[in-house]
Amino acid sequence: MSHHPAANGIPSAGRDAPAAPPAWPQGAMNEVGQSRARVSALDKVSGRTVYATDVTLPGIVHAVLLRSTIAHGCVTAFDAAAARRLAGVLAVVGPTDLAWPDYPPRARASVAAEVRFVGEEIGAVVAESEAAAREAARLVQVEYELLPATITLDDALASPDPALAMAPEIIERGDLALAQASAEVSISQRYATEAQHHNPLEPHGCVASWMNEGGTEHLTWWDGNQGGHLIREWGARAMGLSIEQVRVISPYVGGAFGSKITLKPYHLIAAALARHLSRPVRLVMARGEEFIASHQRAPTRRQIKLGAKRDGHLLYIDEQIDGQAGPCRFMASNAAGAANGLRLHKADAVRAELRRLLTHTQYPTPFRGPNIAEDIFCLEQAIDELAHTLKMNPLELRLRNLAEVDVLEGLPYAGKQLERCYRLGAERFRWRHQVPASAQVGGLARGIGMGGVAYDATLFEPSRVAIVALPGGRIELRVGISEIGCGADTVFAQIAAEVLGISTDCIDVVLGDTDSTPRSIDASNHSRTSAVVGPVARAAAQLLRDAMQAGEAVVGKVFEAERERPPEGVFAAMFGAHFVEVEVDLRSGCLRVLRAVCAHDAGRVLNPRLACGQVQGGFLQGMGMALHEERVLDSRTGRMLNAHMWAYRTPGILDAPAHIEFVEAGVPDGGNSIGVKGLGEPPLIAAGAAIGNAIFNALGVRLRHYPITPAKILAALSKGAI
Amino acid sequence: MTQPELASSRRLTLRVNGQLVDTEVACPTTLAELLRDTLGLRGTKIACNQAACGACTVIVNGAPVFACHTLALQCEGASVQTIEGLANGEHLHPLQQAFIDHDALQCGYCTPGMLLALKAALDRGLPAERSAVMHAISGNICRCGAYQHILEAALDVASSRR
Repeated sequence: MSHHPAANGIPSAGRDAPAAPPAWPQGAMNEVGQSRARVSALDKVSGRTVYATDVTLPGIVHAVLLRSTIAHGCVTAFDAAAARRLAGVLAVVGPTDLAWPDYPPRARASVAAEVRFVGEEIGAVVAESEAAAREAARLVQVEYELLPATITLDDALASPDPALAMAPEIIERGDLALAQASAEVSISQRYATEAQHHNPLEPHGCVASWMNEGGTEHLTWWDGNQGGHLIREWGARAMGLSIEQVRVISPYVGGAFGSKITLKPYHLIAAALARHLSRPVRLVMARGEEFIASHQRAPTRRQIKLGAKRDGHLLYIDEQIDGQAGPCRFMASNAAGAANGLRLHKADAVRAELRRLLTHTQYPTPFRGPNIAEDIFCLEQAIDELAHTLKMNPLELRLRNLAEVDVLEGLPYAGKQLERCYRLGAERFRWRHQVPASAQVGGLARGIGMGGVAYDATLFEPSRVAIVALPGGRIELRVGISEIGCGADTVFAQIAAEVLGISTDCIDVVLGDTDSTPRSIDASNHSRTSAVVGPVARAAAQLLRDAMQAGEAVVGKVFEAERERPPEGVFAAMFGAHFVEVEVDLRSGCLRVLRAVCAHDAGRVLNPRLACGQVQGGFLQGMGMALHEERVLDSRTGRMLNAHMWAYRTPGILDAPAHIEFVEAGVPDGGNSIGVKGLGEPPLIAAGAAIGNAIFNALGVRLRHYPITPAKILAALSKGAI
Repeated sequence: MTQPELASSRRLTLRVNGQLVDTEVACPTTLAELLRDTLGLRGTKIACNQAACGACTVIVNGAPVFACHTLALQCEGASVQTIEGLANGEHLHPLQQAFIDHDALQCGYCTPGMLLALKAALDRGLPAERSAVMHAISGNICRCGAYQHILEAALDVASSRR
């Protein structure tokens, strides 16, 4: 399971929720299904959108965090005398001042007793200006007692520290021994993925401010996060406040990709400092901090074994997956996972053994397709290897092993258009598979590859949306989410406009403020915001419409709807298939992705142009993970050696393929009344193996360790084809 | 109290979006800090502060620059254009309208820098060619990956200017 722990304790199925209304008809409607302009676009192109990093308040002061420079040890001395003497410095706090017992990452010990990764927060400086705070931070003298540290995943695998051991998790369905015995062809290979950093352009950060109202203190965080309601609930608990005492304002966020789901130490430190000084505190990460302390995707190592009949009948998938969990169990579920890979193809037996290894590095947070991207990047290359061994077209092998029933849940799908993704995608791509390394011309080699994706869409969560008709005729839709760039504000406006029979332009979407919006979702993640909240926006608009049709006076009256009951006896999942062509320069190892066709079953597409943007962006982040992006850690000290945007390369426009085409292969899904599934993460997940398989097709050499850099390509070529 | 060296300051005069600015700035202040903190023009974004992502791009005397790695004092007498000065009142610059029409943005954090890098290139006669547009924004990172829509928007504007 890739979801964060906030889902714990929330009922998995909403049996008490209201019955779902009749499903919407197929096809485009008046507003839904149309490429309406993004409702925030005018503000964004005018520089008027206010992000958390743009917030300023009268009397604001600036905090800078002090971070551990060692991977494991204890702080033995903390001398802030020189820092405190600097003009403009208001406060310096150290390890003994920072303690939040009810905040999971620190549950084992206080920071005073033990620091557990390079970059861990050990204190903070507050000053009248950010420049003075940074200058003062340099003057703080810290001494440490070093303790033995396990840094890399490979170190942890080579010499596991018993103190850090976690029990493995095993997923198993079917009779593996029987399937192995009947296999006519089998493969067994090792694969690896590396840590990928979210690197959103807006760094993590907030402004924290306290007010006293009638003897009760109230805390407001202006913050960039993926869901203000989650930050409010966790923050209140950690600060020992009631939920009503905390307000979180996070309307528009400059990128997140999973990194901004949960409460982090900076929230709590900014709030504590603001309370201590009785002044608003701004605390925003520098880019280097964004790398070393704002988390990342976990690196993984795995053994994949597949067996099949000679006719291509897939008999078993057997995997052992090791992932790096960081220093605590808090986010260990993001270190390794296999469920969505196991459900992608039909197999007689599936088994995965997941080991999450603790290390003295920062823990992994979800990153767009957490676990699933790592898993499917590797599994879908292994499927390609199996096709090659069977001398089959990889498309044919996949078409031969389509699952009608979910292998893990034992349920039929609420909707599954994977076959359509394969067929429409192949047709648009003009897929004509040839044997590997058949297209080398003048030092350049071209190849094509494909890969699929499955992604569960089942997380149930109660959800509420409010709507009110304003004097003057406009409609206000109140949605308790943050807009992280996916266009949630726009599609919810389209849904409400559709129900009310008006134009999307007539809807004002209010979001990202826990005081003025109901709790629509804890946080945007798991590609579920449209599928969870969309039907509730429809229901809220329907309440308003019903009241208007009944002749009631509606102006100013707030109508609030709840999430509909999910269908029983079916399993909802998203599907997709990518097809790419690459060109490799055999002398330099440099590689270009020339074109990509990305077919997705996302159910009903609410806004084709915005959906296209999600697919293109997801593909590029997947391409980054497959080819460019890698955290480089010094295995002795635990310091990140490329914590810099020059050295950690995210794709720029010169890296992008000439064309990334979105092929809409879905139909309205049975998972909810508006027929919507998600589209945020699957385009990243499907990209990697399609690229890896195209490289094999170009070179005749299999590269199993992502990112597939020019150096790795040259090394593999020098060893010769397998 | 120790007085940090960074407190030393100088007088600075420049034009920002046509308006005369005459102010005292601390010597290490960057142009991005001057625009955001002193002048309140927060449409200019600081994303990496390492001259590596282009989010802070503004136009100085007709050329696109990384405002995070330009000292404010280097702009004495200069004419600076920021995202706040791109539209003519309520009348959007054609690039802004094209960005809306093509959905050439997602989170929007790179958008001001992208627009100004392209505006500077257009003013210098950007041809309606893919490679020229790509070169013009090769120093601007869009982590959401909206490049294809950005390219289409820029080509639209460049070709209508022919």
